[in-house]
Amino acid sequence: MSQHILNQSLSALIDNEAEELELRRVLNASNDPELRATWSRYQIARAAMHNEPFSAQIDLSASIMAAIDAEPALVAEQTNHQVDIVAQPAKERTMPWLGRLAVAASVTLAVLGGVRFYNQDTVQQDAMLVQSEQRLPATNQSQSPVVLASYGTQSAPVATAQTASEQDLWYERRVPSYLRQHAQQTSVNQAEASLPYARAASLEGQ
Amino acid sequence: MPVKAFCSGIALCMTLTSSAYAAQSAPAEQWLQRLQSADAVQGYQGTFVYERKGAFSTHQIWRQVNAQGQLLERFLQLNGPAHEVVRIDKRVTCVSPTLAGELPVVDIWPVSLVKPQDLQQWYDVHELGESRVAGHIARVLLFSPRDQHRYAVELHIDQATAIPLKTLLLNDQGQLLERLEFVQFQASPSQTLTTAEHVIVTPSAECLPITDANQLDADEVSVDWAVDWTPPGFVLLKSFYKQPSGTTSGVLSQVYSDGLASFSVFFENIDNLDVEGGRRQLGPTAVVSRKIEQGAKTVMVTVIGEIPLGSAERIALSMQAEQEHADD
Repeated sequence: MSQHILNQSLSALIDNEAEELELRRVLNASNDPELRATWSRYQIARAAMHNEPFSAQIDLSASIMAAIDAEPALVAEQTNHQVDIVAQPAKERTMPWLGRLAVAASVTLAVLGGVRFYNQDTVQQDAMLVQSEQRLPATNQSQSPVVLASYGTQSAPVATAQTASEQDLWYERRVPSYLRQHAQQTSVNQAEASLPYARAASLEGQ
Repeated sequence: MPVKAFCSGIALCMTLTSSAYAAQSAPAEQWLQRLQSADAVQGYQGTFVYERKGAFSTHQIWRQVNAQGQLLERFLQLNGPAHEVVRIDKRVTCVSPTLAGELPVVDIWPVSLVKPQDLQQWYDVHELGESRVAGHIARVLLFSPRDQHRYAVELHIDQATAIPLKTLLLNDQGQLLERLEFVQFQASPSQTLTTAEHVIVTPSAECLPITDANQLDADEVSVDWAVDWTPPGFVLLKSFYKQPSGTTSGVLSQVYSDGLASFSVFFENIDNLDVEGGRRQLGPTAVVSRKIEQGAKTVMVTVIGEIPLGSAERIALSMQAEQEHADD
């Protein structure tokens, strides 16, 4: 399969116009580092063209694969329920692999869908002014939990506890202080002091 | 024939819009000047609401010019915690304990009044008409940005006093990012301060005077941290160096403004910390942090401002890794 066709499929996937065959083609080659780099570049280009916020440095796949590998429940159930298939070792070998592929595919779809949904979501949220804040850690893909990247922090309480590292401490300590300082600095300059003051007050308790 | 009619139609349209624009720009400029002169002298008290994504709060403001010509301002949050800030001549003199934290005292620099023509270089200023806010007739001014590096601002300015009664911040799709709107507004009839009013502007017992330490002008310390790119029109207003309590390394802060929007850049050594960059969007405020290796040192650069996230990101990215060390 030539790289050109692959890139075309990738492009179609990003534009949400991919057919099933193209999706499968991209998924098959998804371990290719070159493809992954292209994917990142396309996403940046797309975000730039649509003037959308998008973190190109979030690569969830490693953590998704790790999460799938560390999934104990599925494996345990399979061994229990497939005692009678022991006589067919070839089938047993392929089954978990197929299952894993299917899970990976659906997670990939969910992530793609999530990205799209996220982008639409911000638009709606901004308009409604009522949703909770988005938090997008940019480069901690190695230890970051699967859902943290594009959803609210409260959606992954267990996973967040694992990464409550120096990073979070730094943010908790520094960013509020910086925000206050920013509000204070700008209120001196601006003709209208109420706005920076109200901004600063609204950030308390975050 | 239809082509000719079409062309003349376009010509007519262009003539009309250009004349309308010429007629519009002059009052807009006058309003900008009124806005700035009223800010220095006009006393008032009022109640306003503040709303942004994830936050809604109500506040009271008292503002007076005293006999010595000092501008006294007191802000009090009316719902939830009673956040309080008192400022004299735009310098914070006390804050409530809830706000105190690490709120720094920033030396006041000569407030650079933005020249209307400078502001109009970056914003298209239009007068949209009339509105009514807190029972007062207001004129609506729209500052629409000429590039993608700032947000649009809609100001509803009290016709009588030229005090902004309603401020809306809008993104490039016209969506509301934050709103400040007076629900009650009472302008002081004169600039002199009566005894009764003086009591109001006096801070409550909860309001703690703030003292400042460990703050130096950036010139006094030799740090060469800087961002290489800022959006056009944003000028550096202030640069200072401060050592927050409990840390060994100092923080260099820089404030940039285009007259309407502003952002701050913070530089900090994080040699012994394992932290990565990140980004957050808090209502209208973008926060972008980025770790930069500078020789043997690691510097965290954080950009915070009411500017689009993409612009904040680009500012943070523009600080390049350099070979020479930052001496501090």
